[in-house]
Amino acid sequence: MGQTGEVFSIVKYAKIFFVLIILSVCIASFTACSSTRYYTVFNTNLTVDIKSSSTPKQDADKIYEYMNDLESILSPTVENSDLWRINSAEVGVPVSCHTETMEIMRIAEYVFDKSNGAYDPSVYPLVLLWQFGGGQFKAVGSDFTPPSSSDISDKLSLVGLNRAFNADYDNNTITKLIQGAKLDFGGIAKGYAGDFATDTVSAKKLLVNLGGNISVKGKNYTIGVANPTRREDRSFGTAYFGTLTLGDGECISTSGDYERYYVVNTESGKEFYHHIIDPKTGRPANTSGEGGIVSATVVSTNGAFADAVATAVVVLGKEKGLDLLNRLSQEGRYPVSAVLIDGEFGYTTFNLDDFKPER
Amino acid sequence: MKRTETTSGKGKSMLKSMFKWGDALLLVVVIVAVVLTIILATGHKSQYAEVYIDGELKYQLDLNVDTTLEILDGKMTVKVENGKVFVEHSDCDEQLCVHSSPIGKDGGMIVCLPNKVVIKTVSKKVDAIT
Repeated sequence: MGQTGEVFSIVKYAKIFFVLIILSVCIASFTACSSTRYYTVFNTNLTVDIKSSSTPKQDADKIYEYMNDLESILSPTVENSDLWRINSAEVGVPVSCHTETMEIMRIAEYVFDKSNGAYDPSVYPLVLLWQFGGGQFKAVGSDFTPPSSSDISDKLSLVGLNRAFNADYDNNTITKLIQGAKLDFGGIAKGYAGDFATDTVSAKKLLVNLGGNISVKGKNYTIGVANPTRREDRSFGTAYFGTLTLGDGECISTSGDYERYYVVNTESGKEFYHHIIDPKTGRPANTSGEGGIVSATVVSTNGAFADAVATAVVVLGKEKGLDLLNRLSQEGRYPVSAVLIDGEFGYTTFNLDDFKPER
Repeated sequence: MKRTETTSGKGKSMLKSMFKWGDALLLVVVIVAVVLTIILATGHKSQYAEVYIDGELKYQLDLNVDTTLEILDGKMTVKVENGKVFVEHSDCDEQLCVHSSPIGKDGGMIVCLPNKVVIKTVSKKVDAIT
């Protein structure tokens, strides 16, 4: 008899539990465990999309705080940041830096070496000359005049990561070697920040998007590669050129000529000057034609690396860019795959099977 | 006592005694409700543009209804036209938002950093755009 009663009550509870579980799954999936939050940091937009966490809002806030702290170390325009102190230091005086700065410097030096200087964070004096620095850039309504050739060659003498700066990884210092040289991690810091932000919270499934530098954790996400069209020339109907899948622990970064640029009206038509400065010529990288790259999207497990490589590929163009990707892939320090869109809007994939073009 | 007999009998009848017809019906109703909620919740979003100000969701605009919305006391004008949303006017310096492509059901984002405004449409196809 006792056994009968037990079976009966288990059955009864099982039913109730069943309904309760379904209801709670239903409620939970639309309230607590899923949240998308927006912030402004690193002079760009931050989206934190948390899929599974008991405290999604706190987690998102934590990621924002983390990035805010990083910005105060890495931004050359924030007073007393590591980069600000390096840039205002005298020649030959070692400047002690945070470990984050040194980690980024290590990756910067690696990509600088492998790309033969196509990615070079010491190009900053030229970025400032072209008015693409933080706070300088305005999309519309500014009377932009391209800098003179003599100004460009003046600043070019300050560029060259290996000769303008020396990093000491034992003592965590960076020393300036040329008077007037300046560093900016703008082409790498956002990738780094997004990458490590995912590890600062306990959420199991999340996506962090810092101005197009996306890193994900816990599940596969479908990522759209933006259409590389300028505002003045919107010929495409969709918001993205194609899609690919980003898996657990992966990061993606895109560099391109189509978002930050100046337009100058001349007698022969409009001239465009975009923000990716070729450290060799001191002018915006040549992105036109089939050999030019208007958009380079790089996938890796290291965000800073992906960010720097994407910039290098735009500077190098298609042929040399693919050579670089091959060299990096063979060396195997970080996994690397890519989608390159050329100046005629054709595309080339590297080490990537699942890219689906929209057209 | 009857129950005891059936449960101690064949395995099949044990199952029968656990879930009766009424339970099965309830189960179906619950499952249908869950599926409907999910379809409504996700399908619903893809037809709307979400306007966030300072990180908070402030407005939802139906993409199928042409509208003009003034936000931040007229600092910005957001417009829905032909299934797409765009910024018609903004008092900001950069004007990047005004020059951003209109976004529709296939997803996308328009950002005005100076005014801390994000306009977003949710795509079923992509989770983010790089």
